[in-house]
Amino acid sequence: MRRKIFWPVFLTAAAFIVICSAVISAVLSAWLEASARERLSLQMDMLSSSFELPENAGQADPANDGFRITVISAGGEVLYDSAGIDDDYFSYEDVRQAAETGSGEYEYNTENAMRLVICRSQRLSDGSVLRVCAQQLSVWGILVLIALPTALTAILLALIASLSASKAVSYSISKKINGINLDTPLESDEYDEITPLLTRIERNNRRVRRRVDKLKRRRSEFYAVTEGMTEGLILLGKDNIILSINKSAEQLFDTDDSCKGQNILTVYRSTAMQEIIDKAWLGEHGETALQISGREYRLSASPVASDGETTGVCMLAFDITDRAQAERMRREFTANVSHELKTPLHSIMGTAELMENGLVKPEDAQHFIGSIRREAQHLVALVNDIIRLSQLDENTDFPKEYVSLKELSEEVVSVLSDAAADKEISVEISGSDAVVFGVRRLIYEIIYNLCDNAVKYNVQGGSVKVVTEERDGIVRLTVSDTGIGIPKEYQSRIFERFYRVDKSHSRATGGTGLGLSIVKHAVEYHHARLSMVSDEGKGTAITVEFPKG
Amino acid sequence: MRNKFDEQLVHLNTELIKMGSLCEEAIATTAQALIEGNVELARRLGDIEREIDGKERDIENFCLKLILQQQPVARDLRQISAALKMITDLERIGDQSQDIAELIEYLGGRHIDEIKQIGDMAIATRKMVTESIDAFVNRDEEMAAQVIAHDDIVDEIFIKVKEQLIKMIMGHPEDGEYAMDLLMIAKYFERIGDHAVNVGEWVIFSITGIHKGEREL
Repeated sequence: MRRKIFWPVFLTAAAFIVICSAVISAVLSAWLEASARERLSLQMDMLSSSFELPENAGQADPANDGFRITVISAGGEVLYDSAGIDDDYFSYEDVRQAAETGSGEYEYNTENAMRLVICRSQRLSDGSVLRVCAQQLSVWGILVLIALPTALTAILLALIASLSASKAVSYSISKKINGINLDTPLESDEYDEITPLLTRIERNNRRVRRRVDKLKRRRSEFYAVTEGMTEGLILLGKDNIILSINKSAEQLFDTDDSCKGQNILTVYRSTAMQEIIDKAWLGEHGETALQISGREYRLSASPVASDGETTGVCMLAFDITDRAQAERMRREFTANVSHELKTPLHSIMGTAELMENGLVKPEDAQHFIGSIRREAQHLVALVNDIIRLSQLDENTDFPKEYVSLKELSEEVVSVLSDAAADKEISVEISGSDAVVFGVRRLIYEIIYNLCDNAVKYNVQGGSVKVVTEERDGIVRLTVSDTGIGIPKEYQSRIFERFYRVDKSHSRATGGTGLGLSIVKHAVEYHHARLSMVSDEGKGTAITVEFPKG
Repeated sequence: MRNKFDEQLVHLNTELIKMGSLCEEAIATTAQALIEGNVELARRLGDIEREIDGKERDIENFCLKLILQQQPVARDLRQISAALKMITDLERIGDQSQDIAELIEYLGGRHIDEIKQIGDMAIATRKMVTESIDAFVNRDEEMAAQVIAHDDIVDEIFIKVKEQLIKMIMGHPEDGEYAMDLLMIAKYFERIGDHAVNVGEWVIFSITGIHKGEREL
C-alpha cells in the first residue's frame, strides 16, 4: 500500500518540478536575452556617442562594464579591443555589415552552448567600426547551471516528503480498514469507496454462516446416529489417525475421547486388525474376529473413497458373542440330537439282528423284545421332548386357563409314585392352591420334569417336597429334594439342551437330557422366574415364581 | 525441516508399536500353543519371528538414517537411542518365543498339566510384554516401573518350576528329556521376562533421560 501511494505522489511531484524548471528556464532566458539586448544597445549608444566626441577620437579606454568592446579601423586594423585580442574582425558578419550599411548584428553560442554571445557593430563617422559584444546565459545554460541543481534538490526533497506522506497516509487508511468489524462490515462508514467490498463481505459472511450451520447440523446428526449405535465405529484418516470414534468403540477399546488424533495402534495393537486396515487402504474390504475382555467381536474395515482415491478407513465392530454362542449351541444341539437318536436305534438294531440271526434262545426272546420296546419308548419320549421344545421355540400360542399348581402337582406325583416307590422316596405336597393363568400342559411339564428329576437324582430312601404358595402377587412353586445335588461349576449349564452333569449316570436314569431345557422354556413362556439352590451331596431346591394373573 | 523430522519421529513410534504388537502376538501364540499343546499353532511362530526380524532391520536403518540426516539432540536423541536399544530386546523376545515354539513341537502335543506353573509363567510373561508395550505406547512411566517389579514374580515361578522338575526327574527318570525341555521352556520365558524389563527401562529412559544404571550410582 505504501509503495502504491508513494509512486504516484512522487512521480507527480517530480514531473511538476521538471516541467516548472523547464518553463522557468525558458521564460528566464527570454527575459535575460531581452534585457541583454537592451543593455547592449544602451552601451552601444553611449560608446558611439562618446567615440564621436572630438576629444575622445582614437581614445582607447572606454569603460567596458562586462562588455567586450572592439574598435576596428576602416582598414581592418584593430584599434582597440577590451579583451586584447587581435583578430581579423572583417570576417565577422556584423562588422562587415556595419562597414557597408552602418550597423550589423551577429549572435552565436559559445562552444559548450551554455552562453549566448550577441555582438553589435556600428560604423563611426570616421569610417572605423565599433563592435560591442555582450555575453548572456543561454536557455541550456540556465537549465544546466541553475534549473538542474535546483530541480534535483527539489526532487530529492519531494522523494523524502512522498515517502513520509505515503507512510502516514497508508497507515491511517489501513488502520481504519483493519478496524472494521468483519462480522458486521456494513456498520462501518469510514470510507464510502470500500462499501461495495464490505457488501460483498457481508454477503459472503451470510453464505459461510449458512454453510457452517448446515455442517453443524450434519455433524450433530452424524453424532446422534453414531453415538446411539451399539456397534463400535471408528473413522481413520491419513496415517491411521483416529478422526472419529463413537461411544461403543471407546468402551470396546477401553479408551476415551483423547485418542482422537492419535494413531489407532495406540488404542489397540492386534496384528489381525492392522492387516485389515492395510487391506482397506488398498481399497478392499476386510473382516476379522477379535476377542476383547471375554467377548467376541467381528471387526470390519472398509475403504472410504472420494474421487476414486482412498482417503480413509471406516471400521465397524459388532458384538457377536451372543450370536456365536447361539451358533455354538445350535451346532451342539444338532450333534446331540443325532447322537441321542442314534444310540437307542443302534441298541434296537443290534437286538433285532441277534434275533433275526437266530442267536437268541426262544426263552430269552421275551427279554430282548422288552429291551427293544424300552429303547423305542425312549426314542418316542425323546422325539416328543424335541417336538415340545421346538413348539416352545416357535412361540406357538397355546390356550391359557386358570390352573391350580397344587392340583397339578398331585397329578404329577401320582404318575411318579411307582418310580418313587422303587427308590423308597417319600413325596410330600404342601401349601395353598396357588392358581396361575397359564397353559396347563406346559405347567404340567414344568412340575413333571422338576419332580421327575427330584426322584431320579435322589438317593435311596430320600424325600421330595413340593410346596405351592401364593404371596405378594407371586405364585411360587418349589421342588426340593435330598438328592445328589449339582456341583457349583455346572449349575449355570444344566438348563442347556442335552447337558448332563454325570454323563455315565444319565442313561441309567432314562432321561432325555431335555427335561430342564423344556422347564426353562416353559417358564420363560409364562414370564416366570427360575431360581435354584443346590449343595453337592445334600440336595437341590428349584423354585419357579409366576406372576399372578 | 523440523516438521519433517517430527513426522519421522511419529513414524518411528508407529513402527515400534507395530513391532511391539508382533512380539505380543508371538508370545501370546506361544503361550496358547503351550497351554493347549497345540503344535499347529506353534508352527506359526516362524512367520511371526521373520516378520519381527524384518521390522528390527527396518527400524534400525531408519534410526541410523535419522541420526545421520537430522543430527538429533536432547529428547529426540534419547527417543531414537531408546528405540535402537528397544528393538534389540523386542527382537530377542521374538526369537525366544520361536525357541519355545520349537520345543513345543518337540513335546509333540504332550500336555504340560503336570507342571501347571509353566502355563502360569507363560501368562505372566505375556502380561509383562503387553504391559511393557503399553507403557511405551502411553509413555507411562508408572506402568514401566510395574513391569520391572513384575519380573520378580516370574523369577519366583521359575524357581518353583525348577524344583518341581527336579522332583519329576527323581520320580520318573524316564521323563528326563521331557523335564529338560520344560526347563528350557521355563528358562526362555524367564529370559523373555527380563527383556520385557529392559524394554520398560528404556521406556523410562526415553521419558526421564535416566537409565537404571545411572540411578544406582
